[in-house]
Amino acid sequence: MKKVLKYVITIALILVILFFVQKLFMPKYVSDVTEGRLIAEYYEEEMDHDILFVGDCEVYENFVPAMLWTDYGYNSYIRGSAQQLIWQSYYLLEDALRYEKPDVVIFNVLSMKYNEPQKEAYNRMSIEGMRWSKSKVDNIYASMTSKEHFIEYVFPLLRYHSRWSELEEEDIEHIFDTDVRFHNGYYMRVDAKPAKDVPGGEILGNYQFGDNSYKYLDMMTKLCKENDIELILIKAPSLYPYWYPEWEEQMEEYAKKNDLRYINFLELQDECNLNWDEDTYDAGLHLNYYGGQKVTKYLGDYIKNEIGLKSRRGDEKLEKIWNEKLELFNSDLENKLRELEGE
Amino acid sequence: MKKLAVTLMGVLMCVSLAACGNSNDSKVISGDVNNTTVNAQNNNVENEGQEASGSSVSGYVFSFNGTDVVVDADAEPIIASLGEPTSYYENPSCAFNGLDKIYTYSSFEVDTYPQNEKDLISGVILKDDTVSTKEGICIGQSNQNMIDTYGEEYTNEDGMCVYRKDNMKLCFILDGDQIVSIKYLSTVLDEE
Amino acid sequence: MLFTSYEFIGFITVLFILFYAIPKRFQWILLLAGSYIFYYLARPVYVAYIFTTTLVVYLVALKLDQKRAFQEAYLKEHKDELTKEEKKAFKAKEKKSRFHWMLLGLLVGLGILAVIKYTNFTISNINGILSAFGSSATLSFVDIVVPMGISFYTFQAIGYLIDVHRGTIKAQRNFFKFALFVSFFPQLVQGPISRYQDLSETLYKEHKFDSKMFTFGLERILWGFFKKLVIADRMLIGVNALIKDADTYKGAYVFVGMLFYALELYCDFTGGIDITIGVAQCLGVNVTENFMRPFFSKNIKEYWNRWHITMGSWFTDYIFYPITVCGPMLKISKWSRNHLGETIGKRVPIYLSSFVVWFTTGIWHGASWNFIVWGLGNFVVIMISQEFEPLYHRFHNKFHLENNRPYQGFQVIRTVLLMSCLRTFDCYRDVPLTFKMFGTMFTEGNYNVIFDGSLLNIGLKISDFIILFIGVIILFMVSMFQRKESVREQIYRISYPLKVCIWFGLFLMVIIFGIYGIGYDATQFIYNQF
Repeated sequence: MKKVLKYVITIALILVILFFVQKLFMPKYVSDVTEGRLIAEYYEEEMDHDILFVGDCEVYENFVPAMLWTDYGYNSYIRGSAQQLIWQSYYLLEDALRYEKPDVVIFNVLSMKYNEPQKEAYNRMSIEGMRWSKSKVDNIYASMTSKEHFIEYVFPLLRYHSRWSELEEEDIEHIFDTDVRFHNGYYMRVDAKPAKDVPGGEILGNYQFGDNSYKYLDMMTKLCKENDIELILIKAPSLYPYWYPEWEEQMEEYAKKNDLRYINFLELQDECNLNWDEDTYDAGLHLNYYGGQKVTKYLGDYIKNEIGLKSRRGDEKLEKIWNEKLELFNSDLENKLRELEGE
Repeated sequence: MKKLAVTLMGVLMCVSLAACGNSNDSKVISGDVNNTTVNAQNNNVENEGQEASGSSVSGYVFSFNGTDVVVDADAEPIIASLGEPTSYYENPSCAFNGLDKIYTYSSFEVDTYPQNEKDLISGVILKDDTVSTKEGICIGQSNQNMIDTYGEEYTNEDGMCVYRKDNMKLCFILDGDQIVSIKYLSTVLDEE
Repeated sequence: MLFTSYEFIGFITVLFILFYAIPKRFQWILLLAGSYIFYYLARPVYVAYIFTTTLVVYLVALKLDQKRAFQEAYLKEHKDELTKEEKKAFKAKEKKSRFHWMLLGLLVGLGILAVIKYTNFTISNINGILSAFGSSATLSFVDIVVPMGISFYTFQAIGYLIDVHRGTIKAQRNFFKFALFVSFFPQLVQGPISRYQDLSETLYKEHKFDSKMFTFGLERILWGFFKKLVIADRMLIGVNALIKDADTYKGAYVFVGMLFYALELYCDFTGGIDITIGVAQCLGVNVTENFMRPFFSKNIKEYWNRWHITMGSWFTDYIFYPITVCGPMLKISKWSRNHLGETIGKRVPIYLSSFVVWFTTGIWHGASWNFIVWGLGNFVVIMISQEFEPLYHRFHNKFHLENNRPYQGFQVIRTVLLMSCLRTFDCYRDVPLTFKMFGTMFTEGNYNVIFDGSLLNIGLKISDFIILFIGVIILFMVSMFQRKESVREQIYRISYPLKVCIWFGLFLMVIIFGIYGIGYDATQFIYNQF
């Protein structure tokens, strides 16, 4: 009996130490590449959203949930991360449906262009923040590049051990940090860099979206239909990467065939009143807060008028939550504006 | 017993005597630890190209007005010697620091990617028939011209005819029988 | 499946559990199945090679045993009828016939090895000769898959065959048991080259779980991982950077690279052997030790008795001795004694046999002139030191150096340097380049680069050098402790908390400081291919 206790204590102690070491070594995404924290933040939410966005940076930098609440009374959240591939969007949606059932899901179709796993670093940022579930396991298997191993997702220490010589104070300070930094998945920028000399599309050998991309788009469509969710496909107004007419055709056709709504914001630039000298912070790739407001307005009007989604203003619980969120949002906005002026 | 030894020796000697070449010519043997040892399934023969990697030129190279635009090489001196581009665009990587840069010239485009505080060339894209590859192929020529020049050992990747050499690929996009695009691409970025 | 891969760790974990869960009489069958699965997973086609060698050697050995039994029975039966001459003639005839059978086995085994490993080397040399004579014709290379560890299992099988032929062991009648001997997976990749009489003692036995042995096995595996991942693979980054760009890294860099490579090779190879022996030990199987702190040798001869021991003894038993006592050699010996005088005459056969041994040792390590020159380099050094031995002896006596500590230290360092010099042939592209680079050590005069931070450009950071330094200190200390008694026995006796600290500390070091995963690309064990 004493012997058993001895071993149990040893093992427990070792596991605790390993747990701490692992936490220490994982990237904190605090002062740099903060986008790495996007996915994990979702789980701190009160999961009662009306609208869920899934997609890559073209959603989390272009749409403003705070405005959808203030102007339309929609409680929305963006489950997006950098270069989020379509299967990652699918599994994040699948994961979210374990907790809640939104009325509308909005998917940005740019990631259709990636038929295969791309970059390990982005995989990590998109997957690591997920809670463990079958969706996460499937997501890992769908996303792994040839050099990655499943076990390195289970024990990230095996992946990040090489950071031993790069550890900083930040790694200790934020070892268990759970600060909320984003606004319902929205990444706010207030600076501007005019879009000039945006390159057109180079000639491609093949304009057909891959089978794998379509497979997951089909799965997403099916998942939404089964759950009685309105799936809206969108193409954000970003000028680069180039969106080919051949791609547009395929998406229009797909939406028609599957009875889905499809909004291409590239064609709505004038209606949205987008000004590419002021509304983008990186010369046409992503919108800043001003551009985001314009596009969000169009989307909010669309959902209100075309889908008829009801405002939830007046819901006490939500009002309370949003009051806090808005306070945070506004102070963040002020800080950013002040920083910009200071420059 | 004695004969056993003789025979054993004989077998081994046959193998080795047959191999009595001039050591100067045996440069097919790579001394790179990684090569002699790592790939059991690869013959040493494949390592001939290995010498070329590193600082010197490797793979197919596009040349413009005497400037070699080498894939994966440091972009700075090359861009400097190519002169003023007609347009320039910066494409930040999502979330991470570092910019992919696109330099557009009248008839071709040079793309770079950041690595270790340097910009390296990720690709060259030829835009019209006023420029051609070093081997003399330009846009507008036929499939047969390409095969005559580069051979039949290409792979078809995503609708492109791809010739791989060292760590780069030379890609041709054909429309019917006609070459419509020529790209020199690095393979470093293919999958990370 | 590399030893240092997640797959391998998973593989042995499952195997260990199954091994002690199933009825003991099936344990060896599980090992055989495991070994073949291991080989199959590496590449399905490999199985065909190892199976062919196994089958042929198995059948030939059985035949040899049968023939020997027949001879004995015949002689016994006809004891009274045969004259002495007739008996002798019968024996001679039988011996010859047995010899032919063995030859068949050797030809198949070595033939496969020779064709697979040396065809392209031969072709490249023929092309070399052709072009030297101005011919533009070239033979094209053949695309051959070199099966993992082919040299190791072939030598092991051949050693067995020769032993059966010599009558020192009885042939194994059970084909599957023999197949296990040839394919036992831990040593399949990089040796050691086991003898049948040694390995078979524990290989087929029924094993009860012995927690002490099992712990020892795990410790050994962990230690192997430490040497391989923390030290060897870290050094390899530097070594590769240095030899890849020979134009830049001359002089002092060659010296640094030489020492790095020597240590890297040691940690890589012995680390792999530690894992092999550790895994076998966890399965209750004793595998022969392959190293005995070779870097503490005082001369090259001693070094070769302590480095890759099983290979050295294999070459001695199956090549050196047979050659020294074979007919033609005896004739040469007689002739040279008569014509060249006693002093030189008696050396000729030894020189010749040694030459063959070192030549084959070289080419066994790899089909390239670099390895051949390396092998012959060893031959030259050993012969010279042998010739000078009387001189050394007198020198030692005169200055009373026999038990002089500093002098012993000097001898050890001299041997390490000498061996490291010879090893540079592993590194550079070809023999002339190696000589050239070696020469720059003495002509370049840039030894300041060792201290001025230039070494931080070879892919290793300061922190890496610190880890290497600590790693080497640990390595050295373990070697010192080893002189007294097995380190694991010593650990076994200390208190439980301390024990756990040592294990966990080593484990953490491997996990954190090991060179593996996406951040670093894992490299394979250097000896896989030999």
